[in-house]
Amino acid sequence: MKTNKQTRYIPSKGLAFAEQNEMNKLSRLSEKGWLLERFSLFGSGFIVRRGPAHKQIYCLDIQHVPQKDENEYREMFADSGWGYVCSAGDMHIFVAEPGTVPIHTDRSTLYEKYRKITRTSKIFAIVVMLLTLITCVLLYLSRQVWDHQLLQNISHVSLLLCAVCFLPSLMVYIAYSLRLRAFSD
Amino acid sequence: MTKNNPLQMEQLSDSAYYILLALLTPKHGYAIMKYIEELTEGEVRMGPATLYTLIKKLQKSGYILLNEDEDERRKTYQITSSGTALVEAEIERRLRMSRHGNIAQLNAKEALTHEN
Repeated sequence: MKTNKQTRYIPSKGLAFAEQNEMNKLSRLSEKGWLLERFSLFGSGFIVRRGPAHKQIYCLDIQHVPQKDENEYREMFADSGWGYVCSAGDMHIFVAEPGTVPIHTDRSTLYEKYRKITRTSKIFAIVVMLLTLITCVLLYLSRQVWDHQLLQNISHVSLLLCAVCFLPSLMVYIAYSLRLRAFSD
Repeated sequence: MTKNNPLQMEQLSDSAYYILLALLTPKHGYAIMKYIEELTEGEVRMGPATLYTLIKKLQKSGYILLNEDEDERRKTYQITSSGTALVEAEIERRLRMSRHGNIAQLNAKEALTHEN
């Protein structure tokens, strides 16, 4: 990259844990002339690009949008003053001038926003937990019963991978279910 | 509310009620928002994510449908007969509710004058 960098990487605390926080951070960055361009690889943060310094507000929507509806979905936002910026899976980020009508104006649709992702993260956490248990059993068997070195190594590595994924996946699920509970009444 | 079974909406949420009112004549997304704003003289303004979510939900429940025959660039929606029946019942229900409010206010006033 050149010495006068045009883009910057901004790490994210994770949208599941600090959604509003991250959106406010992006807004502050726009004030300083760093405008959101896209999610970074693997969604670990954002890539911002140099632009005119101008305060804008950012908002995240979580919505499964089939490809045939993509134009319609983005047009509805554009018509109400929300410009489309980028997506990662079902997560879409929009930008607008301060004071624009919020993208969600109804609690029931905010609930919908978090309903599906909560279920998905729950399934993911359960699968990771099951895999952890299975590899535990496999490790035990390969060590104590079969006494098989290769199998033992494989299960060792997979147990490590599972254990590394388990806590974050559980935390994401807990974060979303708390958010979901806040919007149910 | 309708969270346990999102496809059953015997009682419409305020936002869904306004969308159905707007779709008594066919409209596209932005026109729905504009119409609601005009109808309520700016009191109700609907965000695009709420509009999109509810349109898809109402469409799944068969209360509105996408106009297929038009080859306009923008998709327009229109209310179905079950949607019309639902919104008519809802208008009546909401009228009854505001009448109940008026009666309760009158009752309270009368009770006060009796006390004095």
